[in-house]
Amino acid sequence: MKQQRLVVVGNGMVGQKYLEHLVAGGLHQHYQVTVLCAEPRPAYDRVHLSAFFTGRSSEDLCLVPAGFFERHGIELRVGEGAEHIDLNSKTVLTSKGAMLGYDKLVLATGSYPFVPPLPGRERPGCLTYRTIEDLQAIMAAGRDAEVGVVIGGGLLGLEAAKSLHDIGLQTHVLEFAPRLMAVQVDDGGGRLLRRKIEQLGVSVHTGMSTTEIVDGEFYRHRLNFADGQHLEADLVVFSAGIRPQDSLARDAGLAVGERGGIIIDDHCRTSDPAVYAIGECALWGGRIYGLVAPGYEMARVAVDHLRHARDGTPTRQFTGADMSTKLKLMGVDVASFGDAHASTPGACCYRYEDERKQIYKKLVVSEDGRQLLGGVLVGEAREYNTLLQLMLNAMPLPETPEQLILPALGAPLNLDVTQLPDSAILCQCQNVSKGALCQAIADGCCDLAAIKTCTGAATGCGSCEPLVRTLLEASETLAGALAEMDA
Amino acid sequence: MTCTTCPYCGVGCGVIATVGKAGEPSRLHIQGDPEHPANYGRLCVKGSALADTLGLEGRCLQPLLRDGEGRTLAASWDQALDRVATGMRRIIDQHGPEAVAFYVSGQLLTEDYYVVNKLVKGWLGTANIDTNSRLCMSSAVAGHKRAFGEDLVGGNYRDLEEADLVVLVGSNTAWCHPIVYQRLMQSRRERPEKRIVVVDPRRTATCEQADLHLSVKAGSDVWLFNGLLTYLEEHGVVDTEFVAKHTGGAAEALAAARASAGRLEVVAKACGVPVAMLQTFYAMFASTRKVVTVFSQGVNQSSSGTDKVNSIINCHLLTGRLGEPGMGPFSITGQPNAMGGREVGGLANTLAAHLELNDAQHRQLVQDFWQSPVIAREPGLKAVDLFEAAHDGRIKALWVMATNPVVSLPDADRVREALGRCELLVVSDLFADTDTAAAAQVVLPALGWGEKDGTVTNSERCLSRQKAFLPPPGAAKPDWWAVCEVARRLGFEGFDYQSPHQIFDEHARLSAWRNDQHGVQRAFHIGGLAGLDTDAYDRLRPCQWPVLRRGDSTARLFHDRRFFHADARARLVPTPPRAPANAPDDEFPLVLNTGRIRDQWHTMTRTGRASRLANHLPEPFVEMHPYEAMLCGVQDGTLVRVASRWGAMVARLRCTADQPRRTLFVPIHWNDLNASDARVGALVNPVVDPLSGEPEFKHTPALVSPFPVDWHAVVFSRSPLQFTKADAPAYWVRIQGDGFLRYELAGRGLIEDPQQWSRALLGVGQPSTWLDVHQDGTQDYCAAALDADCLLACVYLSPRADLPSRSWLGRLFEKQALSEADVVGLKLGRSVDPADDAGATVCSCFSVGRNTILDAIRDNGLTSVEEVGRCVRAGTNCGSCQPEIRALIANARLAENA
Repeated sequence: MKQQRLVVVGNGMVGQKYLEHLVAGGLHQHYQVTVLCAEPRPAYDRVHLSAFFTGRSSEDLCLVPAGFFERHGIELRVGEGAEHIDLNSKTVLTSKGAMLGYDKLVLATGSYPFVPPLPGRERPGCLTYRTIEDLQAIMAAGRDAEVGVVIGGGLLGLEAAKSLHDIGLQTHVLEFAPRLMAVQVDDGGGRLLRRKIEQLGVSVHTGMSTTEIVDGEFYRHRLNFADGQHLEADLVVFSAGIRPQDSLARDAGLAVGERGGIIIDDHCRTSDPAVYAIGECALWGGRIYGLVAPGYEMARVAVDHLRHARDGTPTRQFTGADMSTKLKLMGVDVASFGDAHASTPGACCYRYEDERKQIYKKLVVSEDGRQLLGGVLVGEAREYNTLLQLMLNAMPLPETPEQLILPALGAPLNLDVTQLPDSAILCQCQNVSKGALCQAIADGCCDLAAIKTCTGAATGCGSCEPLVRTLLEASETLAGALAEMDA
Repeated sequence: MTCTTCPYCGVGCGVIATVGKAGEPSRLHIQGDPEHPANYGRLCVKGSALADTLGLEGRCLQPLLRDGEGRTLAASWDQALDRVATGMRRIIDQHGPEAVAFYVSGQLLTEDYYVVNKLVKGWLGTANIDTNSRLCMSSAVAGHKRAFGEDLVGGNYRDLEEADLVVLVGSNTAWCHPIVYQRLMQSRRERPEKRIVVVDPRRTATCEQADLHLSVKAGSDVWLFNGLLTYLEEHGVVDTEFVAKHTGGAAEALAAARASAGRLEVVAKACGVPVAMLQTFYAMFASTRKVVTVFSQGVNQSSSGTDKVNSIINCHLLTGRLGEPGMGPFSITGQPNAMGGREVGGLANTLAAHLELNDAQHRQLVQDFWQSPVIAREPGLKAVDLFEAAHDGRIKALWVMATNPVVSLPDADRVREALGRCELLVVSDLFADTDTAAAAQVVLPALGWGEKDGTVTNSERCLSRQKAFLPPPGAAKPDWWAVCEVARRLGFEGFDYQSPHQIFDEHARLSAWRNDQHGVQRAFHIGGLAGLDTDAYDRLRPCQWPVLRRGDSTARLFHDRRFFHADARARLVPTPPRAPANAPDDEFPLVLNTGRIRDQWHTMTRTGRASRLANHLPEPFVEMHPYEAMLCGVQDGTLVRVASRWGAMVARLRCTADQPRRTLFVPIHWNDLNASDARVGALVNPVVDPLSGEPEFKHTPALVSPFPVDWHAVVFSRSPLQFTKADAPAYWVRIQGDGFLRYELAGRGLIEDPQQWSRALLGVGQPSTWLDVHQDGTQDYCAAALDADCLLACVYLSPRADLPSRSWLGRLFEKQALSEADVVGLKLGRSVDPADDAGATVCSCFSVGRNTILDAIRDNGLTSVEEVGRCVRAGTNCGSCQPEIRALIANARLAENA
């Protein structure tokens, strides 16, 4: 039988994860796999893009192990994107004019930065922040610039601001909303975050609506605001959110959402059963997932479904993803999980704020105080993992939930990992469960490095590392006890 | 037990020296004088290490003469003084007195300074005497004269404590004036509402605890303060009565300020600081009556230094904020006796006792007092011009005292050439091997700190005694004596002093001479100190001038609203801003800034001898923003070449975001004796302020490029390595250790036979044991020479730069006998016990290393500088490493969180 053809459009983080799962499941042997990668280099770590400014090279950020494509017989076409898809003839026309036939097509086209339709947005020196090329452009523009401004005070906007700050520019962040990271944090957390970021030397302007960009008097550009104020800068970086890269799908006639995104089902299938969409281009349940972990899960689900189609093995489904995040923005710990804004009816909040140490913590609990619904941590996020596990596993809260965020006056309150169910996902990035970790330990992974290699846990954002350590220590204690009994 | 004064910075701390038996420096105990009003018992790291710098190794102990072939011959004082006197006489007879010049130093005591100034201006009849204070303070002097009619610092250190806002401009106070900084910080701990603002392009240790740091572009200070002046006027923060009654020039100064800095946006652009930050600073200044603006070399060392000074003083005059506790402009000097030198007139453009050369009445007054045959009529050559005149042959005889211009002057390679062209070069110094003394025909052995006797005046007009507590070594003599001897040989009368006490008495009488409304009234008046007997002079306790009557001390000037222009008013001076003289361009795109580091002083001729001062920053370095380094294609920790149109040097690159983009910072200390090519003076543009003549040390266009090398080595040796310029490696630095010398080397080409190379390099006679380890398959090599169990020398050579821990190797040299583990460690190139490696020095007072502090933080969960101090002592003496300890705690916390 002639080998089936699988075309993957996009070699970003999620596209690459898809290939890894494909290879891990041996499915690449059953398909002639072609990958179209519009960017001039294969997949790299976009999450840690700002490290580029502190001297990391594009090679350092590369996510593709050496020889990956050759070893697994996957054809990678770098610098070649998809121009057109014909669902009827099952062909993809590439940007270099090649016509590729497919039996299965995977769209992992990701997203593009949203640039608000401002007059002047295309002036030279007005840039976006998403790809290594964007960063190279920022660095080049930064050579002679003195002042940089980022439009957008969300997660990526603050990352971009860090980059401008790192290259020694006077840096401003403009945010339309009344606070920074409006999606993830509440007013209290936003206020503290702002203060901390301003202390690092970045000027923050919230509630600012830019109306146009024109010639500046002192610097290259002048940004005019709706309230009549203005700001001048040499370099403008747009980071006002992302939009799914769905134009290929839209043109091909695949179903897309009203506000963009390729509609997928629980198996990541689009409206055409031969076509999958994963990652930030995909719309599931009316929602775009702009984080890497849900994208990775989609990659896994899509590969699973491909295998299911071949051998009928049971398949997993994409059932939405937790959007909890913990990150370090310009050296400031910020974490947000669950219902951070307490929008659940009847939800109650506990707040703790220490203005001297600059720490803000909020817990959102259910009306009866028994369940943790969400929270916000700014300035210090040690408790993040504990709280996340409590929430995700719907574990009962202590009588006094506030002790979870109050500074430990006595012994610190730690999550008893051993109490978690085996199904609890400890590593959200790589989707590793407690059960899988315990199995790995039982199989002889006796230190963190071994666990990382074996399970992939703690290799992404690293925030689960303390939990993994605790599991390791618990197993050592157990082993010690057993050894003593033997003696 | 002797109460004396520290010889380093201009804070002028009181020191108590207690000498052990037999007067050996090694038994000397140094502590802060608890009763001295500058420091109340505190001492910084350099002061604390004074005893380590007093050894006699390398000291010049008798006069030296150099013959035509460059041979150095020991001579008697008579021979040497005769040669100086006859040489001078011949040159004066042939070319006139203007062919003779003196270049002296803020290290001289007031008495030395007085005598040499008297000889030059009253007997030789030239004003060609300048001082290295020209390099550091002359812009402040010129600014003070324009504003106040006299070179006056009105306030005192206590004002910094009492102020509600202290603005530190161009001053890394934490490192360069540590005791003043500590007093400031202590006062802030007592009154947390006190605010501190730092204006400095660099984010220095001083910024750590500041409420606001304005990282202004180099040379933009005048825009900043003109903007402030405009802001103050616009917001009605003007003391109209004071301005009307006691000042002049306000309208003109305001017009100039408005014209150049009338809009915040213009100031923001010129200074490279966001508008909002300017507003914060201006509002803070406007709303705080008790404000002191401290300024130092960042202000003075500029081609517009004098204007910078006046732009600052203008703001204090407009608001009437001076003359009362906790307010006023405050110039903080670099050297222990910079102010003393100014008092005696040791600058080419001043006469004596705060009197001016270009005023006939002043000249008459001084000549009458001195009864001198002549009096200089025209200002002499200022430092940079003076060496230029030596270069082009106008100056033929030059006497340099207690300073090292081949290292410290701008365009320093040209200065070296100029010295070579002098027909007579006399150098008075402690050491005959300084870069400058190496060119001298006559080297006169001078007395050093602890040997010489006299007075100094610190930054707050406080006059205090520096006293001898050690015998004069060898044939060394005080500078005043040598000057008087030459004067006598020239046939001059009026130089028959027997002691510094007599000179001081004359100086005090001159200050009071016709100092009233019938003569020339001036603030500098120490008539109350005239007529002291020797005993009273010796027991003189620190006091602040004016001292009109015995026992007086004047804490503050200007309280009476009286200034020293003829109309008794102060002047606001219009200061139209000017950019630095040489702008960066495509060829030299970066701005080179120079300055001091924490543990070294000037050209290291003294501090370079103390091992505990050597380990904080052991190598010459250049600091640069990491992104700039990326653009220049150079990497952190590697060797780079720094070049300007005037010269070049080699240093190690330290990437830090504390250094703003497009700028470089290089310390001023290294010289040809301790590094292959690290004299930053050679690069500095010879551009000066038109009024003060002070060079623009803070702004020279420069570039950085890689300095490629093929191998790196570190050598520890109990005796100095002998290499000549011809066979020296491409890069070397010599670092003083405790009982050993350490060398960092790097070179080009392959070392074919490392064993032979190391033997030749170390030149160790016949040790009982040689250890050689040649790593198979690598070019890594190490060798160690032992005598029994005692380590004599070791060398590690590698194509890579990651050589063994220096602190650990240094510790091995402290041991009388190596253990078996030590020998294994030597072969491995690392300590067998990791706890043995204290890491790079952070606290020099107690020699506490980085690793020791980090371990203590981690193991004990320490969260504050105080806790670290209690645990490992670091930071508990002088406190100047506290900012670094704070940073280590923060890093440790970050690492823990990650």
